[in-house]
Amino acid sequence: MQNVTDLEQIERTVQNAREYAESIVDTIREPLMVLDADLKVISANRAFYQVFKMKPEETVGKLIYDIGNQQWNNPKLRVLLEEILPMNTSFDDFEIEHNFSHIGERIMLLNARRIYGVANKTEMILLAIEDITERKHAEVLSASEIKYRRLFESSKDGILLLDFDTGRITDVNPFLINLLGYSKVDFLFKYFWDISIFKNVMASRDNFLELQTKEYIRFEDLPLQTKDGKKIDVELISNVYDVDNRKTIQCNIHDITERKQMEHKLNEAYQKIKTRTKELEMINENLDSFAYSVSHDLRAPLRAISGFAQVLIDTHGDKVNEEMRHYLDRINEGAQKMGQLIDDLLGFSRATRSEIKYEKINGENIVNDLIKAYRDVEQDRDIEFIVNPLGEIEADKEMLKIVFSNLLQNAIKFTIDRKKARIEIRSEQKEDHIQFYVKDNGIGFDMKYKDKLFEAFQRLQTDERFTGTGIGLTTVERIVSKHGGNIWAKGEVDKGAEFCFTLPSKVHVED
Amino acid sequence: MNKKEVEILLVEDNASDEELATIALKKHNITNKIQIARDGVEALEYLFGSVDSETLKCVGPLVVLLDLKLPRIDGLEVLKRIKSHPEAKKIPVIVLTSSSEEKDIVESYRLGVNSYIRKPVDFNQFTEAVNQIGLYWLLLNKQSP
Repeated sequence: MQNVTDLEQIERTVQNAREYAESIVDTIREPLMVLDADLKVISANRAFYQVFKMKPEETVGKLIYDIGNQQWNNPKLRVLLEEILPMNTSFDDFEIEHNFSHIGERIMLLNARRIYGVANKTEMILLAIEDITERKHAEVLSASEIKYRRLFESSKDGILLLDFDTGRITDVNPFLINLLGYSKVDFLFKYFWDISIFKNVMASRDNFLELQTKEYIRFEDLPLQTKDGKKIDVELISNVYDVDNRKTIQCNIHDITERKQMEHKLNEAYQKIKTRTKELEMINENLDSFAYSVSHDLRAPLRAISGFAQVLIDTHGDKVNEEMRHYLDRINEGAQKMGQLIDDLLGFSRATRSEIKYEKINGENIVNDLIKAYRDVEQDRDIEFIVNPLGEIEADKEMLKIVFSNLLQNAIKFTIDRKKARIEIRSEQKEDHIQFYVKDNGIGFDMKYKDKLFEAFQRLQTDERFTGTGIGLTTVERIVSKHGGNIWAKGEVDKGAEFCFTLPSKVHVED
Repeated sequence: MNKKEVEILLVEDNASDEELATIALKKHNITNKIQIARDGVEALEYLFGSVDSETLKCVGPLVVLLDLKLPRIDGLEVLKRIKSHPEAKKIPVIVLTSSSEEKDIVESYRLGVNSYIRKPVDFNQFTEAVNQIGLYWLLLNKQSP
């Protein structure tokens, strides 16, 4: 009987101990699980079922890896768990981040210990689980707070923090203190609209009220005066943020003084350019009407001079002797030359003023057309023209005609005393331009004077047979450079001359 | 002057050019009656009676030789008035000018000019041009019913 009583006594003690232990386990707020040697769940506490939203029947007697959609089936955890009993280990603070089936993405901290079953004398594992998601988030938050603080302290924008409800300044960053020259004390806990710097500008509480309703306000260009009287311009942007469920206003103040000054300077420069452009346009217009008058009015008297001289010969030819005729011819020639000079000047002026009208041109056609006309005029001369393929050119057709006609006429003129004149035209395609050559076997020129070739009214020849108006090559140079090309010449006295000019290839015309 | 005899209206403000043009025409036996207008106003008055009139008053001339740069109303305006009038537009107009500005040439043809001659400095070329154009238009006019 005693044995029975003892046994009962023991059993009761064990039972009490177990109930005691279980009640402790049950009241612990962290989820706990007890696993057997096979890692099957023996029991779990109330906190476990609450936290993981599971029921005992889904848990007890099941392999830990299988419960809750295998949410504990984590390879690292497996290793740790499976080592505990055979190798008499334990583990602390094993972190597991997982999308748990009922409660979503959480971070859990696991601790495991070997425990010894008193009742059946078996080894078991106690697994304690702690949900540290919130704590982790808080850590991240505080890290971002530090980051924000650093930005606040080191920002190259002035930052002012205000309490949303009261409008009092709660913080000001070093940059703003430096920018405005006031100390931190001058700002802190003052009402925004009481700060003297802002008083006159956005002093009115209305602005603040607007900010309170719109939660955003922006002043693009706010003139401020610093403590030492320096005038600066700032851009002010205010936003409202929630901080710990309390609204905070952040004013970002960006110093735009330099930018404004630059803008001002730019604007001044722009105005200057505008005025200058207008002046130039007017000058151009004047030039236009000047050229028009030159064309019209200067030629009229020349026509009278030449015309009446001619009429005199025509109508009184019988009374005009050789000498008189000579002088009348001189009068006529002078008038002709003046007419040519006017025409050349007009051509030069037109080439300078006109806009380029780009088109695709066949170079040989232009040259051949010109040559045909010259052949008619120069029938009594033996001139060999050699025209090589010139390729497709993108240029202003009329202007290019002027270029070639000037160069060809020069070549014809300066080969006048050659028995057989030879004039060759060719081109070479270079990387980004075409290079044209007009070469003759005429009287050439001294390279000493090569720079004078393209200057207006400069003539290298004194021989009367070669005199021109001195404007032709200047016009050519103007046209070529207007097209973005270059022109130069090579020559030697009595050994011919070669004129080269370039035109950019493929510039404007679309196919 | 009997207007019916007039067959050429020469609108020219420059006396020398007028004289030379007359000589040139005569030289080529164009002896039609020539009426001279010294500017655009005179030309319009001759053709329409007054500057603002819309009625063609003068049934002649066979041809108008028109300078462009004229005092008061310029040649392009005269050309425009002639060529926009339902009857007057039949009169051949030849612009005879010193200008070789492209805009003048383009504008003249746009307004309906029948021919455009640039007055050359050389008198022989000048007479040749006047002769050819004058003859051509007078002959053409005579042929049309």
